[in-house]
Amino acid sequence: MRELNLSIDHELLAVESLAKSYGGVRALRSADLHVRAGEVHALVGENGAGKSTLVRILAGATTKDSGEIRLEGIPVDFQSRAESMRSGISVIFQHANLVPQLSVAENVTLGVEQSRLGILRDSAQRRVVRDVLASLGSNIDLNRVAASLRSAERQLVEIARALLHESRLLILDEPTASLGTDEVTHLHRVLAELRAAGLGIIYISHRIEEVLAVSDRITVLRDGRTVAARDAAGTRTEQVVSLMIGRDSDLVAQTASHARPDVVLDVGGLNTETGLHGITFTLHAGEVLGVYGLLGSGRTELAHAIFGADPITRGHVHIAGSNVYIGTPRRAVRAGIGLVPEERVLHGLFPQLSVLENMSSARPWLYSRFGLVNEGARFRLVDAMARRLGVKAASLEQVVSALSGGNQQKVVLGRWLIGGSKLIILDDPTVGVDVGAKQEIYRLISELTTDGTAILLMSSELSEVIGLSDRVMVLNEGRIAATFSRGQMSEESILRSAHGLSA
Amino acid sequence: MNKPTSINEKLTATPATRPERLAAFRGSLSTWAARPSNQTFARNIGILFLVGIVFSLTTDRFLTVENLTNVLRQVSFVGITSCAVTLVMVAGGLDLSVGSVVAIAGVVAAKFAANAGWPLEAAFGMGILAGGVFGSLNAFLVVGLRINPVISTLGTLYMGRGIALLLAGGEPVKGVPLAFNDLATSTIGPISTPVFIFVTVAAVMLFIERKTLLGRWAVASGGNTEAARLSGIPIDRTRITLYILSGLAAGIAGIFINSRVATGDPNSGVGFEFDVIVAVILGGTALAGGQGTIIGTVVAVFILGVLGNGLNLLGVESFSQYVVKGILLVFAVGIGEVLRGTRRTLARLGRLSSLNIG
Repeated sequence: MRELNLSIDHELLAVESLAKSYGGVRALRSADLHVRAGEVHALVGENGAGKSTLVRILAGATTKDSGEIRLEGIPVDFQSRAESMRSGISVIFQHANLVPQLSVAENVTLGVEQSRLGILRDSAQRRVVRDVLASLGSNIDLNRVAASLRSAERQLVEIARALLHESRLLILDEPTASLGTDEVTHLHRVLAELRAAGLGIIYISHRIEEVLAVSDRITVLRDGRTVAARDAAGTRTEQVVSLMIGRDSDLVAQTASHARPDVVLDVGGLNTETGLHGITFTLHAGEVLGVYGLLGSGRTELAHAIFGADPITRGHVHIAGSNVYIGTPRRAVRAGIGLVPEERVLHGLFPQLSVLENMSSARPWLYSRFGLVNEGARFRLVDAMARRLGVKAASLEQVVSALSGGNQQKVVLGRWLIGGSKLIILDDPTVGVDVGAKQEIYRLISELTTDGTAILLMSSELSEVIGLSDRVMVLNEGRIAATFSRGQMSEESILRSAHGLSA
Repeated sequence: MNKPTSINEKLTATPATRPERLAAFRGSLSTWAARPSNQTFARNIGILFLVGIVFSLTTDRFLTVENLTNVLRQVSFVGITSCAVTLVMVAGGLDLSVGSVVAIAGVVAAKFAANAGWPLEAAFGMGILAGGVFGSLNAFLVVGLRINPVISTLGTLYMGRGIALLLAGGEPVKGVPLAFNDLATSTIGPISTPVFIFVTVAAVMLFIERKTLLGRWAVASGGNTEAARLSGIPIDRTRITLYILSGLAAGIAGIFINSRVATGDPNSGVGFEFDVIVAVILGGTALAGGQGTIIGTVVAVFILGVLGNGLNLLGVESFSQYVVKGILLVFAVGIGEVLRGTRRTLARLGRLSSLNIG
């Protein structure tokens, strides 16, 4: 490996009072982070605490609103990712940023190729690449194309590239999410060596125990603020979890239960290629079942599997009163299931179409015959629903992308309410929605359950799950970690099981 | 991941035994086969041999030195241009304007020879240069103004045709010296000049692809633009260079095509761009960029040339030849997708029957 002539222990990165808002949402309020050269620094926090925003700013993917960032004492304000990279910061995201068609060697040397008069001098550099990879304990065939690498191998190739680019600060975002146990151990060994060589490493992970084992210091973010920065040694997992939750979390007032005895959805032994294992549960009419889990725990995957969007490898999904196998979203819709997807704009809306088109897209049989649309009937259906939901739009002809997040969400929801649904799956319905619209969505959920609609509520917001659900099912790594009924649930117990700790 | 070995361990390791060498060979073979471009290459070599064998058996005029030289001469124009366009497409671009560049280069060369009385070498040089200028126009539109390459080069395809017709006054350039024809009919040693130039251009492009920064940057720019940008690769400069090279190559093809008809014909090269694109795609270049090789394109150029030649020898009329070439393109390129899709469907059906269906 190249010689690192950095003195250990001086302050490499200083982040002070960093703030950033997206639209009206304050993602970061006042974040502080101090990373020394030669240390692994863990950054933890709940979903939405501001970790990703902080990383995006450091990576130059977005700019800060206020606050200060100093790299080795020099104030920086990155306008682009290339700028951040040039300053010696390498971010390794979960999804590797390699050129799939190039070989391992070509990817490692990308941008720092040795050449004379434009002609590559590969053979000399291949030795350097092999040495760097060997120092990372890897003997990947340098000729393999990046597309054929496994995630652990891609990660090492990216780290090797960062080293050739002379990076001083390495940011790893959930580096172990898709690694096996051996691979995790190996990665941690590699990080220890890089630390010894004087690099600063920011390590972001949801796995608290792993974080405490691998890092020297730990910074906890909550609601966009740094709430603690301390040595990892001597810190217990429970302390970190309670720091992440805090005491003053704003609970959503618990709504009354409208659950009825009849089963609407029966899921048994569900396994999918997307990583779900043995998911079994039932959902009753008028019941709200909250599903909580960390990133990658399988929340969205579960929504997709029930809706027939992802193939099921084992198990069954039965919807009451219909004996069909739900293998496609089309059949799911026919069976009375509605899905409000997590990626609202990407998966839920036709952004260039009007409110009318968007809200009427699910059940065309309600207003058409032989493929001919009865425009009057369609307008009346949509108009009534838009009024009921309080969709704020100039007219039903308004293009849906011009609406606010909350109103867009109402449009997606309204699509499933026209004609009625037995079961509505809400996947993080209040992400990017302002407070007022949030309350309206909560009110709607409650209203729907009085009519007997069953709700499956996937959420990354604890208070929301607790406030709205009759029961909460916690997922961890594709399995059900625990199920809590009304009386048993607390933020702490849910978060503990989501982190794979015993509740 | 394999068990990590340090370099030192590797150096002191005992010499490999035969089974180990065999395993190593198998390993590198599977590494080779893991590249989609190599898979396409293997498939195309197969197709080329198959087509060659079929024609050798069905007509005795196919497998003669004279005929095969003839094939080479016929494919050289498309071949020269396809090699350059391959790199443009690998870098995530597209060049549809080459058909019109052929006409512009021919007309410009003929005008300089006929009206300005320039020596032929200089006149041909101006023709090629005109191609390069047109290439920079494409680069300006695509890279400078960020107009989608399909739209930009479709536009320049039309513009170029119009410019060629305007320059020539709507008809082949008059008063071109007879020697204008010599370029296409001359030979260098035993090889006809167009074939020689084709081989040279292919070799140069192959070198650029494999051994230069430009080639590496082309793949990176088209394969993962974000990764390329973050690694500090000059994506814009790469694409500009490649568009100019593509224009120059089309210019070279243009002076040969027009030399063959002994004048500057503003209607030359109509549909040429499609022959080029078909060869490039058949050769395994991905429309989305990142993937494609010069060698693959060259093989595809041969397939199309041999196919056309063999069908001619068999007396198949040109109308039917279009159909055959179209089918070949759709199947050769699409078959991989179709097979993958079928396998997925079968797996799905298999799962379905094993499921507890209502």
